[in-house]
Amino acid sequence: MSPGPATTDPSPGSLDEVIADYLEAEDRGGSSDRGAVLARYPEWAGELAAFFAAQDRFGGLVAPLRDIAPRAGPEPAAAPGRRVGGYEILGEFARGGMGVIYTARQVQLGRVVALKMILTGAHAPAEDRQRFQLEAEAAARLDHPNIVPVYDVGEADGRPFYSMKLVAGRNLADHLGGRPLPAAEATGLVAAVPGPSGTRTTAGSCTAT
Amino acid sequence: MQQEVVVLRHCQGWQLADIAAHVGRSRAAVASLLRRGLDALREHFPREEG
Repeated sequence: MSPGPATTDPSPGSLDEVIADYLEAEDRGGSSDRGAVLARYPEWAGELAAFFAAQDRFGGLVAPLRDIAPRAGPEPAAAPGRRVGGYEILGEFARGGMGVIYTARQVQLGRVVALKMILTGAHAPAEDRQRFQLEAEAAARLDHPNIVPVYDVGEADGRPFYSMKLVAGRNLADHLGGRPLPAAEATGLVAAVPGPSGTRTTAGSCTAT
Repeated sequence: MQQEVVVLRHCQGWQLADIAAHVGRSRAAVASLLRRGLDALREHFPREEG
């Protein structure tokens, strides 16, 4: 994606290796002993303490969102050539918190479309599936020059999907080049993006596509 | 990518190894993105009360 300092891998034994070890300990379950980490790496104590503080602060702020966000890990991308309903997958186009968008060929009509599927597939909780279905239906009802038209809504092998016109463009991450956007500008940008039902996306939904 | 890593970790609770595989970076590189992502967000955090 965006080149720059963000792409350099930290050297072994660096602060980020220490943080990675700490995060993995967290992932293995149980509480990771921050005191021991700080004591073991006094040279990074300031940075580590700042990281722990920021992690707690942000973690606390987004905690309410975690209950509604899909918790499962990523589902492998559908392999090119795979058939989904009447579509042949050509490649992965974009991926967000809840859905993945493929470029696909609608076999019967021979046209290339964007095919959106729920990220966790057939294993998605009923609530996510219902939300996805509502999004698809709402999007299909919209007719607006700024909104990509929906062609088809369906389900294949227990995975809901919908297809829409494929629009070439840059995604937001590429546009930003890894830099945070000034708040005022970000607000304007988000306000200009219609949500799935033509209104703004609710602040609590924390999804990226 | 900072943003994506922070969202995956904190909003969706992904494990470090999963995020690393997903974005195609080493675990330390993901830790770095996460650390700097949180750092960048810090100025937007509401002030702590008291």
